[in-house]
Amino acid sequence: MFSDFIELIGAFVLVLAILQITSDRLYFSIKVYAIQSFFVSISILSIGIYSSSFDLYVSSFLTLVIKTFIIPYALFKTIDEMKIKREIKAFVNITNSLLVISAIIIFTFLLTRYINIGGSVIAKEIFPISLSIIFIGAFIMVSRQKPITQLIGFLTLENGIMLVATSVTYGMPLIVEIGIFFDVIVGATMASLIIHHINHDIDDMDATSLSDFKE
Amino acid sequence: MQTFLMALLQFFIILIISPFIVGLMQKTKSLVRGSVGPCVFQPYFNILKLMQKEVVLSNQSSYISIIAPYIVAVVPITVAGFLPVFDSNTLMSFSGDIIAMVYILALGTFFLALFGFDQGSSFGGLGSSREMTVASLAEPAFIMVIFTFALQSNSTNISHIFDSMRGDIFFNYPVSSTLALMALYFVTLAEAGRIPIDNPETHLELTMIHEAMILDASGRNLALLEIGSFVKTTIFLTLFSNIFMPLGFYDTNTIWTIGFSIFIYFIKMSTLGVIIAIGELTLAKLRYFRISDAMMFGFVLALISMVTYRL
Repeated sequence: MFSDFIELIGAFVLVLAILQITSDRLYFSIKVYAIQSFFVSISILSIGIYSSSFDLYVSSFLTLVIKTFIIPYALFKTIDEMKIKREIKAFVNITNSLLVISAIIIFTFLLTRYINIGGSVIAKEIFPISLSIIFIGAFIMVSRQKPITQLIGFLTLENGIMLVATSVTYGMPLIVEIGIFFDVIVGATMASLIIHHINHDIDDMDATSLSDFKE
Repeated sequence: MQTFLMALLQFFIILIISPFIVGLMQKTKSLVRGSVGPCVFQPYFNILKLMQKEVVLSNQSSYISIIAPYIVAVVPITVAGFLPVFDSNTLMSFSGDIIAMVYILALGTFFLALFGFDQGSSFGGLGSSREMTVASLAEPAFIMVIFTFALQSNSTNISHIFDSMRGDIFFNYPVSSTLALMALYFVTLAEAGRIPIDNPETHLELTMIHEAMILDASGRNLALLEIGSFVKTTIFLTLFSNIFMPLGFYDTNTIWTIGFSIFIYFIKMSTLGVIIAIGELTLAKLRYFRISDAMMFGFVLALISMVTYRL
């Protein structure tokens, strides 16, 4: 019953990752990311209650604060400053992206049936779900043109890693998790700085025009 | 005899509650926007008023305009006979196949589109072509959701599916069921013509789909078309609520359990109506060419739901 609840939350995270693919607005993407992080923090919290480990409570709290509030706030601020156009350009259009994503998810579920995880796993279905989320994040990173959506792809990927780490291994050591959070914050800050510079230097928010800088 | 009476009772409950649900959605939206809005029972008064008015038909229209409103109204009412509300015995439970139900509903959509074309006005044709596009996009997602539940309960009989949903299928396959729930929500919005797909309130020519088809209908014809759309909405909501909130679905037939399950059904439908109305307020209507993306989203969710169940 308890593992079912965790799987239910995991399913919501997966749905939000698929919804991330369909969005063509930056504001909507960031909102979806914030809600997804909220569900990830609930999932971590419930695994923490299940295994009664203090580290996971801290990790869940940090996820809630950093990923649901701080990073989306920073991204919203970046967008407002840049006055970026709201449309997202993509190399692959939304319908085709969805088809690719469905193939990826089915492949992931098929693949994980052949992987035996040693020890006791809390929620069996979380593993393929989080693996799919990692792949979806990677797909967003390679299929979008604007750096800010690529950043959102990276953050989605990171959510998937968080989910798989807590569900399969009962959480990493606290110091490692704090390191990861620090990494994400620094990554997001650096990315917004770089986005600012790209915007300032070439008056465009398009990562493809960076290849014009070749000598 | 008793099962027949139960079946008849369920049939009439769906018919009677359907204008109320639509009225409740309108009222909720008005209240959240800060206006008073029409009374919850306004759709009943509208139907009664329209029934007494005479029919005006365009001189370009053929016999299709005379028969189509009756077919559009009768088809959902027939389907209501398939649908269990709180008891497994329905009027047509001997043939209550859920795939038949889906395609009988498609017959109503087809005649509604014909009615739109038959008026000879440009709005009707526009609405019909849009409606057929949306219907054909929503159909694969819907049938995929149906297949998921048919696989989970090993049957395509509606009563049997609802019966096994009352067990613990939802918590046996939480991932599959959640994805199917999301997909069915999208299909419900598309088929009932609610906001991300179609706006039921506006008569702006650029956005309307369902309203464009019934723009030329008047009097009794309009009342019949409205009844058809109300009952169709209620059918989808009943399907949704009985699959995902399988409370109040009993087989014991004492007067108390019947009353109690009717009460539970009423609460479920009202909750769902309010949820959909609030969802409508938070979303903007999608651009027409984005509807294919939304329906593709539903289809992909349904496909993944079916595959994750089997894998």
